[in-house]
Amino acid sequence: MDKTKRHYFFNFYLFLSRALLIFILTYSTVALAQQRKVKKDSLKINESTSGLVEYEYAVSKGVDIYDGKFFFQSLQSSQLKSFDYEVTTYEGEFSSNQKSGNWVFSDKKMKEEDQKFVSGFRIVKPATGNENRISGKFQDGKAVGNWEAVKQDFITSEVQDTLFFIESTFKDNRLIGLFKSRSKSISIQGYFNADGYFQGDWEINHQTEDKFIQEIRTYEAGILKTYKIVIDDKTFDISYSGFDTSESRDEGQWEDYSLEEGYFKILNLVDLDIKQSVSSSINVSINDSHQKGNEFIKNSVLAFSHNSGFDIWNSLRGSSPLGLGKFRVKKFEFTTEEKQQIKETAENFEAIQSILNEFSDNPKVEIGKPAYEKLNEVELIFNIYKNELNQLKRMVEVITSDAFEFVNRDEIYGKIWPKLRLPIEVTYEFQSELVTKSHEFPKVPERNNFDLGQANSLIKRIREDVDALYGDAKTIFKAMEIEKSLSNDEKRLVEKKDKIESLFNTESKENDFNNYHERYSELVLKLTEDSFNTYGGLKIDEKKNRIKGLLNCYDELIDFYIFLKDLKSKNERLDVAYTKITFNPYMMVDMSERIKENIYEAFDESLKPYLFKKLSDDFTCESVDFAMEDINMVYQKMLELSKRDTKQEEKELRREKNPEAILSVLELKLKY
Amino acid sequence: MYMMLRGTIGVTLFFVFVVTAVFGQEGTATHPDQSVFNEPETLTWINSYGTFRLSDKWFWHAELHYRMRENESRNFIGDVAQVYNRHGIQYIPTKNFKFTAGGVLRIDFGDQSGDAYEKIRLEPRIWHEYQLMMPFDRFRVYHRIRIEHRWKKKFKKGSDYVFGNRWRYKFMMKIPLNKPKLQPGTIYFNPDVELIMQSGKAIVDNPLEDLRLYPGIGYIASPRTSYSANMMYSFGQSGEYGGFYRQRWVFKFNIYINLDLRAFDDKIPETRFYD
Repeated sequence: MDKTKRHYFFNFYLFLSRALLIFILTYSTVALAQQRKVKKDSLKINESTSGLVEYEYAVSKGVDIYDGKFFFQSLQSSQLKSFDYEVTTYEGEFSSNQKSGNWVFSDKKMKEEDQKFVSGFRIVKPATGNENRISGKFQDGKAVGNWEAVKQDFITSEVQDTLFFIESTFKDNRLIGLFKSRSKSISIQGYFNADGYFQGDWEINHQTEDKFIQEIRTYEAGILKTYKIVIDDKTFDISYSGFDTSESRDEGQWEDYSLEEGYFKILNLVDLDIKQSVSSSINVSINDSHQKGNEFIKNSVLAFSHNSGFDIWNSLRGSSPLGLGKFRVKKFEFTTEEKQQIKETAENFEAIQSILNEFSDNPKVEIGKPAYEKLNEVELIFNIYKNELNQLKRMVEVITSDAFEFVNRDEIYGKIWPKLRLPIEVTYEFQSELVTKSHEFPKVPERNNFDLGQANSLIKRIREDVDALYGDAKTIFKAMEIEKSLSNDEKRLVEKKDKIESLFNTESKENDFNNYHERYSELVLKLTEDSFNTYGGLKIDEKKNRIKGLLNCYDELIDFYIFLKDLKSKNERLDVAYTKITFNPYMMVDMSERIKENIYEAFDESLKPYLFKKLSDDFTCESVDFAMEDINMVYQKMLELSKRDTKQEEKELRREKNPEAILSVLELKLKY
Repeated sequence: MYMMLRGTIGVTLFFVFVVTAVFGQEGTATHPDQSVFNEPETLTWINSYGTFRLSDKWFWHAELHYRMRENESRNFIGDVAQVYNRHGIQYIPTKNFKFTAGGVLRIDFGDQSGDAYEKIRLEPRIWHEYQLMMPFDRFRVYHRIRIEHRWKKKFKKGSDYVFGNRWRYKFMMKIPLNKPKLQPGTIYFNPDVELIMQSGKAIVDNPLEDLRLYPGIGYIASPRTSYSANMMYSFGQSGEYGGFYRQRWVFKFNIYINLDLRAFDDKIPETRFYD
């Protein structure tokens, strides 16, 4: 092949190769573009954040998977005065359901301004507020590269101030390398080693109005080795009593402990020991700086992943929790007995608090104190316990804290020992006289001898004492309730008695007083008077048992008055029901005539008098109740009979005068 | 109430006066110097009055009277005098007024013997009446105007029917005695006065056919059945001569039957109908 031909062949080969490459690339792009789709939907991030999401996705095995761009925005109005709206946004990309590429999270709290301006063909309002913004990069669902977290103030939509700025580096989803954070008053610089442990010197600079304070916390693979504070160029060496900073990893049981788990809670449990002698103001400055430093480190490191208490990145699919630094701490593991003691201490202390609050909130205490001496005694003793409650609370909080297991307990028992001042006798006032009584308060353990077991015993004995006293108080409360209830009932009883006497008085001015009332007046008044007098002679315990029944009886008698009042209209109604009116065309007169005469006469002339006489012969509360029921039943039956074919009954009741026989024909059975 | 009653009596007397004056003018010239009252005749009338309800406001009125007269051996119940059938359709638009129209067929039995006289003669009539009832607390007052158009002939064989008109006005009261109102079980007193005038070509000097006074006592057994008994005295001008007046004493025994012939369901609103 000559040179020209070779050249021609080479060019042709090159053309074919390029064409093939272009074809493959084009085909792949088209194929991918065809698979990806865009969807708009609603999405709930957590209980308080939900909004609209727009994302690219692909379908794999019938299931949507995020693949491509992702944008979420939630706009929620606020009832708070500090801001009108909260806007939460996520913007980033997914690759096969894993976060990938650059991501930005933003949380804006905005208050709209009154002024308006035009942007394009929109009228918009500027806003004032702040934005918490976190940006970083993911690769296959893991945080990588440089990350930033910034919080800025905005006024009229313009950045006014930066409240804090944090930057660091992630690798394989955990913080490594340099970490920087700064706000107006504090700045931090520190390092994480390749495994994510706090490493080397962590410098925390506090800039106050009058001085500059620098903390230097030195870590070695997560273990706090030294702690120094420099105030006005003077260095103070500090250690934690009860917190192991030994260099040897071989002694005891060492565990990883994170900020989220509460590393600084452990440090807060123990006191700082300053090697140099310091003035009280320096001491305050050291402790204050220590607390602020702890808080700032925690907030700065956690800012990459937490916003207002929720986990920013784990609320969305496609990534695992970020590794935000680790410490190593020595664990002083509880024995089974210690665990049980802690549990009992927590339960008993909660019960004590609850009882003391219940007692002081109960209005019966004040009401009952003038009459019940015991309430005065209980109140005084409970007040003594209440006064000591703060000391006990501090002790219980330390004991029940998760961090308690990571401090050397023997070194801090003396510091959480409650210095209780419990007397041996109490003096209180009752009915204008001072009463002094001895009371056996629990014995307070010695400080030198104090431990978990002693603490538990102390709380347990206090609870027993409080329980016993509250039991006495509750007995008094119950007696007060019964007396109050009885008093109210007796008041009602007298009112009802007066009402009955007024209603059934034969000289009653009531318009509806009729012959029936007159007939039963004497019986009702006698029953009322007798029962009331009998009740008056009872003892208080018997009165409690009888009062309800007597009230019911008086209610029955009041109902009986209404019942008798209504009888007149019932009789008239029956009269009408058993009367037929026929027009006589010869005389041109409406004429009424009795229908079903045998039934009506049997009722009117025999049964009705019998029912009322029977009640008169045995007039008691029970019989009144039953009689009203039975007589109503008879009237109802008579009404029913007036409306249906009663040939058989009429035949059987012809000239029938025996009320029992009449009741039998009417298929009625009396209860009284 | 007293004023209403007095007004009613006044209207009645005025009606008698006017009718007597109008009908009496024709025979003035032929009147004898002195009127002659015949001996009273005694009779017994046994009457049944039926009213049968056909619908809400329409009724069938049916009367059947059996009348006896004295003979030589017996007063009041000697011979059969008449059998009297009166029927009509009655319309009662309100409780206070009713209107009736229909026919009468009276069978008269003669009391004269011999071939020249018929034993029986028929007297057909067409009649219509208008009755107004005035309710009072304790009693009822009734005014009835009845007009009859009749064809009458004598018993003498070969006599022709002569057409005439009767003009009747009746005043009647029903006063309960033992109960506060007219209802079953009531015994009532029944004052009754009726003036019957007549007119026609054959009526020359005798327009006053009859003036009947018959107080009675009645008993209401049920809305459907009542009974009454009257002793009636009447007098009127004789057909032979206007100066002669015939007189009669009549025992009347009456039964009143009112039945509702409607279907059962139609009777239900009955008691409410006139309310």
